[in-house]
Amino acid sequence: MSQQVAVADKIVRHRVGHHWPNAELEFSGAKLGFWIFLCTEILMFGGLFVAYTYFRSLYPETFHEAHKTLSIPLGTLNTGVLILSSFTVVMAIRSAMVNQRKAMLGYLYATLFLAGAFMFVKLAFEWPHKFHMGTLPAAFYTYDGLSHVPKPHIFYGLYFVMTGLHGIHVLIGMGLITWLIIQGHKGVFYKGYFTPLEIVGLYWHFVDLVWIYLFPLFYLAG
Amino acid sequence: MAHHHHSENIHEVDHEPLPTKVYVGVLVGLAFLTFVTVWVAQFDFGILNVPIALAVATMKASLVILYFMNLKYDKGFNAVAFLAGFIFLVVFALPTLWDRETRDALDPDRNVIVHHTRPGYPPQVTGEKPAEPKAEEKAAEPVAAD
Repeated sequence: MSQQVAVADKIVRHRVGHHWPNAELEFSGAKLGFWIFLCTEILMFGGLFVAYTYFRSLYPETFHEAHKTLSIPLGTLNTGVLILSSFTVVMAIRSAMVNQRKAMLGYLYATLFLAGAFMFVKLAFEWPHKFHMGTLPAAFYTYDGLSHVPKPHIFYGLYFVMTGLHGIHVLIGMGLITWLIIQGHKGVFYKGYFTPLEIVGLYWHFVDLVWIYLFPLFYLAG
Repeated sequence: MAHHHHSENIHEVDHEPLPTKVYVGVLVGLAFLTFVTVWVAQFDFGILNVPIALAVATMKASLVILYFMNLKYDKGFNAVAFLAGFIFLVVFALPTLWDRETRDALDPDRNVIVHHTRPGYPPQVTGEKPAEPKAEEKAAEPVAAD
């Protein structure tokens, strides 16, 4: 059932699916489908951003005081890490488009490393600190440093749900990038075919977009 | 990409990538705007704090969408599909916040006040014509303790 023909330079040349008339339509069809998926992603995160806005308008002083417990240096570091990883993804795609497979793989490994670094900062530094302090959602909240403002646990509920859903997206992205690396080593991606790179790239930039808004809303704007 | 070279080969695409310097420029721009938003956060602009932070974030988001996600040179319908999400979000957010801001308002049809004693909980309809609150009650607006 091979739709692909191996050639001497280890590039596996792409054959379009039988349901597509040509590669151009296959490529643009896949992309349109993914843009529509990203539209639904806006709505999923959007519901949480509306919840954030609603509770912030109810308890502005709580959000002002509670946001001071988050680490701006760590948040800034992770912002830089994600922005850099968006850059390495576009460079991986660009490398495939000019048939530079080694560079493409290098950029993909760099992206995977940066994604791992982001999760490491979250899971090894930020979240354990909150578990230690008791700045946690709902009934798990035990911190006594914010007793002068109402319902501080709501801030941490929103924080953990929103950055948690974002973190799940990062983990899924790491899985997808690993898959790209495996396929890349097989020689699947080159100038004539790079659709999965392009699609995962869009996904990864969207994850970056969400963080671009999470960072100021939780860490900076008090 | 804007330039599609249609060859006889139906199995492979042939797209011209953007130059590397565009991507490097966007990366530098994003780093700079991150610095700006962190730097500006140390100053207190009162109610403008959040709008300023969101304005910078939206500049960053625009760079990512237009150049990293390539929407500037992509098919227009992809932009429609993506931006529709933001329009739906506005449709969701605005009436919700409108409701939030008018919870304490008089309902003229029923001549009752619809208000909340515990913010965020279902509203209570008193059925009574609202009495003018006493001066001391007005002053001591609750900080909604449990």
